[in-house]
Amino acid sequence: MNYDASSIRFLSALEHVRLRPAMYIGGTGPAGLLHLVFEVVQNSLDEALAGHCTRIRVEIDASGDISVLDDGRGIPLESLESLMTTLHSGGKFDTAGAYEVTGGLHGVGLFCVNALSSELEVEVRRGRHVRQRFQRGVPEAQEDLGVTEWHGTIVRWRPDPEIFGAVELDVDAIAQRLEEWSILLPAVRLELSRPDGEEQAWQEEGGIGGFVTRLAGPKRIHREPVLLSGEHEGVHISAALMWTRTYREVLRSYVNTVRTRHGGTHEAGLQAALTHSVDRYARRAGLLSEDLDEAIAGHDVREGMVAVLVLSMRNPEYESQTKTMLSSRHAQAAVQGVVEKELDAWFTANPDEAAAIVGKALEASRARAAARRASERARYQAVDTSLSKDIYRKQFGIRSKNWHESCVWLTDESLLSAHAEMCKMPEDARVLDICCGSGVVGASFRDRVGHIEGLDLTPEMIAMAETRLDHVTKGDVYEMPFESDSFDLVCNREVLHLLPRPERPVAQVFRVLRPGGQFIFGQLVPYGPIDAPWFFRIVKKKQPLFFNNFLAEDLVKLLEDAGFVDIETRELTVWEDIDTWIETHETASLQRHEIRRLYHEAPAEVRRVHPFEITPSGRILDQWRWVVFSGMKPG
Amino acid sequence: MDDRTREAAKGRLPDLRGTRTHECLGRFFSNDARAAVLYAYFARIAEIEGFHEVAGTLRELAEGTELFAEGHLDFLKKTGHPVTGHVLRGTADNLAALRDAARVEAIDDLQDAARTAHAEGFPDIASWFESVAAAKAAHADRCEGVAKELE
Repeated sequence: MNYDASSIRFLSALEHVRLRPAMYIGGTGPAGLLHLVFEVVQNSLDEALAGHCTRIRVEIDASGDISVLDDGRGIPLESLESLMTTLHSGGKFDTAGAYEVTGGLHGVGLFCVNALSSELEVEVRRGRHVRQRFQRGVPEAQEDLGVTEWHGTIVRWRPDPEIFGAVELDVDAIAQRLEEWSILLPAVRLELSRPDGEEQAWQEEGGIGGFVTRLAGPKRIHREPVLLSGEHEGVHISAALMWTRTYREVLRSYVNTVRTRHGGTHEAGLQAALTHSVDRYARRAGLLSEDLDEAIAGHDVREGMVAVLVLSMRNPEYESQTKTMLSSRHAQAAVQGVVEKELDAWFTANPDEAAAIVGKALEASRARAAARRASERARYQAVDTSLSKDIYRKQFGIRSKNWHESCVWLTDESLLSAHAEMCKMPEDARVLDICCGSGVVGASFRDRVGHIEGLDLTPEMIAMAETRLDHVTKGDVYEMPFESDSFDLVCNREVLHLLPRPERPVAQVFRVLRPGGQFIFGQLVPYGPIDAPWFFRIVKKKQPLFFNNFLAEDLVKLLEDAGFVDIETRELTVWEDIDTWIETHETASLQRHEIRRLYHEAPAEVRRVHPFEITPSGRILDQWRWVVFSGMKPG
Repeated sequence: MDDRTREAAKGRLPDLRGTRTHECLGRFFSNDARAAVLYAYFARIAEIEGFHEVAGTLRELAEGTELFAEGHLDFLKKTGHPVTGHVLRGTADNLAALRDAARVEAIDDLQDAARTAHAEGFPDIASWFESVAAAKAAHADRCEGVAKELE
């Protein structure tokens, strides 16, 4: 296709844009200002997509002037002025136009940028080198600067202070967008010069495959990314997929270079295709047990998957003007068809990788079933023995492999020292750390006491605790294998919530303490009755063995009822990284999603009492409330 | 012909209280309130499982069903709160009715249920009931708090 005067249709009006800028760029705040930048960059991107551009550069200088440079073909000289001064005069509006597809936001194009700039200058090199200046959209004469070998376009403008006032440009948002674009345009180097002179550049030479490989990192389970591409009824699809040994799912999708942050029909098509292809392969390879009536669910397949999905298509439809969610129906069928066909072929051609990927999904599906069975079994056994030792042993045995990475609170220094600081016992005290885990809580008393004993059920944990404590005994907290009155201090952290009938282990603590001895334990608790049910659901979904959702006052009462006196508490808060906390085998994939939902959709009354944060990248940080309790056995 | 039917035949509306119709309204209100939550809950799961279109349909059904429940309530409210019978003539009454209902549930129903769950060997469900009881008691207090501000 040619990109010349004939493909430009003229419509109308400068005044209207200046009078009602919000109609064209959404508003005159920071988002509107960004919109101008992206509108100009989009023109360069369209050149790049058409294969005519290798470098796009955005410069923002300290005075607030913005420049966008590219080495594309250059705007056709004969239509330069009309392009800058007429509404809806882009090549993109011609249905048989110069570009097959375009990401241009609303097609308002350079004209709007020009209309909303106090000064704008455009330089084009396309055979001749031409420059034209504009004042609030009104053109000055075009200057011909002679013949040039080079080609490209530079647009430099100053957003009109009459329109935008003192609104500041969000440079980080530009950087983020350039980085996103670099994934899609492996042949293009994207550069940013910030107001303070700092330079940044992005080029993902490996394209989407390189990007998913980098993002998957060392935990990937196959070496090369799965690269798929195809076309279906005018929808061009390419995708890169990589599976990792983590539980997190990362899916980025784009339509005509615009990131669809909230997904839509194309993502639904991808998900359906993945589920079908993986399930089909698993059945064909005889990996599913018919006896157990096993099936692989969509979220099992997506667990640990890093994926980029890129569409280019004509006239995409979106849920809203901001283009963050695709609603075109035919995109779903197109993506599903292409991905399923290509993925089936890839699985057949790469049987080892296929086995690893399908095995991972199968593992996820089995872990989900096991988690369900574990909680059912624990409940059943709770009736007579109060505790299923096997289940605890198994669960914490597996977790011991990456125990200290599994969350922040385990090794948080302030939390550990809070326990030790409450110690009132003499220097030669005998300490017992019950359900000692890796022994860090007991070890935090190291400088204050004489002997530290550990008690745990799990051989793996005992092995870890032995490196920290003086001696570790294997045994259970319902019947502690110790003489009565044999310790000065018993300590424990974050265990009582996992024990059905907690009054029984607390009575055991009372028994093994000498008269005048002290019990110190820390527990994560809700802020109060309002967030208690919400918090219950989160913790129960994370940990199927969660049995007691104590409020702080419940724990005080538990101590009192066991006979402890002089009860004291200390409170502190620790920011916990929820994504890391829930990334454990005992939390099934569906539950991890549900937990994230609970944060995203937390009721207002919960938000008011329970601080947590969802970062722009989507990570969830929760300010947990820890209470450390101390009670004395009467002397 | 009984009295009610006779009154109805004369074009006068009979008293709803204690009728089979009243009983049906109460039952349908509970059913649809429950169904609305089920739709919304399963919409969320459908979305997580990647069935966005199904999720959209379920969300719409949830909304539609909520409207049914509210429609039942349009009639029911004339005979008072569906559980306590407390009059519902406006916000002050409504708040008092909600407060009383939340207290009854928090203090009696849920605490009883928690004891039963403990006895039957479901410590986690017992703890859940206790958590909800505590939150409901706090809700009752909030209703009372805003009611005081109205005065």
